[in-house]
Amino acid sequence: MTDLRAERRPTIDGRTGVRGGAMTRGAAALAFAPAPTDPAQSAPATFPDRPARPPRRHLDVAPNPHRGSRLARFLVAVGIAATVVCLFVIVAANVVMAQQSYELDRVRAQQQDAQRSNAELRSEVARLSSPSRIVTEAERLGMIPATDFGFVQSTGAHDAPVNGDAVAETLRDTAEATRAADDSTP
Amino acid sequence: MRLVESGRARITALLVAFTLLFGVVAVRLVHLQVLSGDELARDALEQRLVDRTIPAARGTIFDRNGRDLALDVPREFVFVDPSMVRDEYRSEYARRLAPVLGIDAIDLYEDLGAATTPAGKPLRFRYLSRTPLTDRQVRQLDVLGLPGVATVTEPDRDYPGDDLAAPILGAVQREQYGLKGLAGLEKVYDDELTGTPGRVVYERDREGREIPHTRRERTPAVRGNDLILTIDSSLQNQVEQTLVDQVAAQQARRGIAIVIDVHTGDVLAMATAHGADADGPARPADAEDRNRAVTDVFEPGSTNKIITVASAMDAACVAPESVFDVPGRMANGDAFVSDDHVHGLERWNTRTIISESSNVGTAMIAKQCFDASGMDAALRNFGYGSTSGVGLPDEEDGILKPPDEYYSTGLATASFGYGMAATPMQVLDVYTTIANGGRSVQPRIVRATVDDERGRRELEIAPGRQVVTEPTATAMADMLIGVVATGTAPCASVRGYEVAGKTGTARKVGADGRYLEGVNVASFVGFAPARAPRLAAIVVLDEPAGRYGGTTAAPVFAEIMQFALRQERVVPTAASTAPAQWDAAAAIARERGNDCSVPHGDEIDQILADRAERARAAELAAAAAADPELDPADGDPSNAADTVAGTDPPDE
Repeated sequence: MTDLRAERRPTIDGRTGVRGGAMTRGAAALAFAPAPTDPAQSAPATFPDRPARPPRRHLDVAPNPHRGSRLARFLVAVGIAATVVCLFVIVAANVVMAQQSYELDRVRAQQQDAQRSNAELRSEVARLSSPSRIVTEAERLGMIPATDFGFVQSTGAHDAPVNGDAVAETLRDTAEATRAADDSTP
Repeated sequence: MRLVESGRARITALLVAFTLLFGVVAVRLVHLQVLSGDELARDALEQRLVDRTIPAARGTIFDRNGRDLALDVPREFVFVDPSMVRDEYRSEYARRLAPVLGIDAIDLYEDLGAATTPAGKPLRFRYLSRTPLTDRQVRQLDVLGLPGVATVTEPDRDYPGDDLAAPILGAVQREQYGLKGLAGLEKVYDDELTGTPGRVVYERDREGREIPHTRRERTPAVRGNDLILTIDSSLQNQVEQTLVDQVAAQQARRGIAIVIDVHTGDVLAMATAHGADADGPARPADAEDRNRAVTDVFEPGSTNKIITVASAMDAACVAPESVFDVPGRMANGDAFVSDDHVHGLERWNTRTIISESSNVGTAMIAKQCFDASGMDAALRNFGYGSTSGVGLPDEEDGILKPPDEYYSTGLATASFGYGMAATPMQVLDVYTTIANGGRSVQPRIVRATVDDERGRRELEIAPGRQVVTEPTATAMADMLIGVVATGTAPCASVRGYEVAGKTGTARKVGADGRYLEGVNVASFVGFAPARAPRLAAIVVLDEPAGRYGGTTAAPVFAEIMQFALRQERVVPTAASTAPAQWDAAAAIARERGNDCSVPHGDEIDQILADRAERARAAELAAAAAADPELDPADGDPSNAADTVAGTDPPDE
């Protein structure tokens, strides 16, 4: 007959007893009754000379140490990978932002150039259309100020139909007035 | 055994050496990072940090039709960071920059030298030239690539019309953070035109580019407000050119002309022209000149007579048909008053006194209607003695004697515009009041301001006041029509319109305080259409060869008024009256031998040549008269009777 209790294995820390008789965790754990304190009751009657057994110890099955180590390694690996990725993203973002910043600088410079060009063109338009320049240019082309002119005045109300005769009469009057004025030019 | 000991010793020595070395490094690090850390970090930041003021663009000045008269254009300017120029290279810098910038190398050498700011920091910015760079100069500077020498883009003031309306617009000067008004409207409206500078703070790399994500502040500059003037640039140009041509032909010292809208007080044109002198031929005034239309005073002479007559009529002292026995010469205290043209005792009414521009008749009216205080009140009532408020800088308020200093002669002389002084603007205001039915009009030259937030804002002007009654003003206008039709100013008539106006010819005072013979200020001031006035104008010529306002200033008035009326789309006067004045004026002008036109182009040269020829002939004739043996072979004796200064017969 094999006493299962004799096969107890020491725990991982070398102790063989159990603390307070608590139940161990896990499906493989076995519950043992607390060791009896009276040697007479526990000693077999057929082997009187046999020395008394040491008090039975309560043992637990120790958890697998390799199991936690793998998780930690996994977590560390994930952390490192995440850090690397983050660093990469940050660096990449910085690079992109730097590029964008220089691009922004370039666009700003273009904007300034365009604004300057616009202002210069506007100034040029103003210069070309200034009365003094137009007069000078006209004179260069051989034009002279008009010395003879007349006036055409409307004779009717605004809603009156334009009468050909009235227009002709007005023009005739104006022409006569102009001729008279020419004759009497001071 | 020995070998082992030797190895240990070397290891120990090496250990000590490394320990010392790292110790030194550690000490240095502590020194740099702990003891001097803050200071060095500050220095480093200062080197990288750029704190720049962004100059604000100045507002644009437009004419009444929206044409640009003055505007900002961004241009490149060269500057140096003296702290980057090592002293031993300064002369080389100066030698290379001088031909590019067109500046003397010695001046450049001085400007390149290091200096400190008032705060005691090294100066980092100094303009090497205040003249904007051309594109070619910018390229040349790029090629030179001198460290510390760079360009900066800043607004520069541009006047597209060059000297068009220059004394009105004024000028600006470049200051550290932009442009500042120095004269004219640029000075008066400097606060409106000047924008709010912006600020930008950033860190830069060694190439001067902005470092991304560094400390930065950016406050954009706010552009200044725009000004909209009442000036019409086309009319302004016409007035300037006509005035310059007449000043040249009349060999006058200078000329002044103003055109104004009689209802709104809008000054449409205001010009000053200088005669030929050591600085060049006759020309429009430039931006460095003061605006003489409001800063210079002159004795107005006969143009003042309408104040006397209008005030007398308003006081019911005389009527247009009141008759006076007017002698050619009249005692006035211890002196005499005489008319310009000799005549005997004439029975003239008030209307004729004005059309004949009789000094004696006007003095008689003044003595009949006013005492000294009354005359002084009449002059002040028409605005003399106070500025017109047109809004231009340095405006004069004229010179009026206190009534108690009139003595025995002052009342008479003041009645026809002597013994006092007014600006052309003040004289024109008098006629604007008459043209506006006796109600004064506040002249203005700035119509509105425009800003981004509030848009266009019309500038408020002071309300006018009734100076004389409307019937009096109408009667005065009627008299002034006669001045042009049959009086002293036929040359002021404008075809198609009826014109009212008055000539003025005032002798100038010499250095000894006495009036000079034959040296005059000639003027004409009037309005049109006479019975429904729209525009008024004054022309003043200083020392014209022709001497008289009716023959020298009136033609300028006619030419610019003709242009202005057409420019303003003023309907011609009814055919029943305008040709009558034109015909009558033409007949009188022909009778007097007046050409009544302003010469242009080659005509001016011909006139000047003819006048010089006549002057030479006169000199020879005079010499021949003094020495009978001298033969005036080069001159035409028939011209010897002409005066040297002018050939126009006196007409007023």
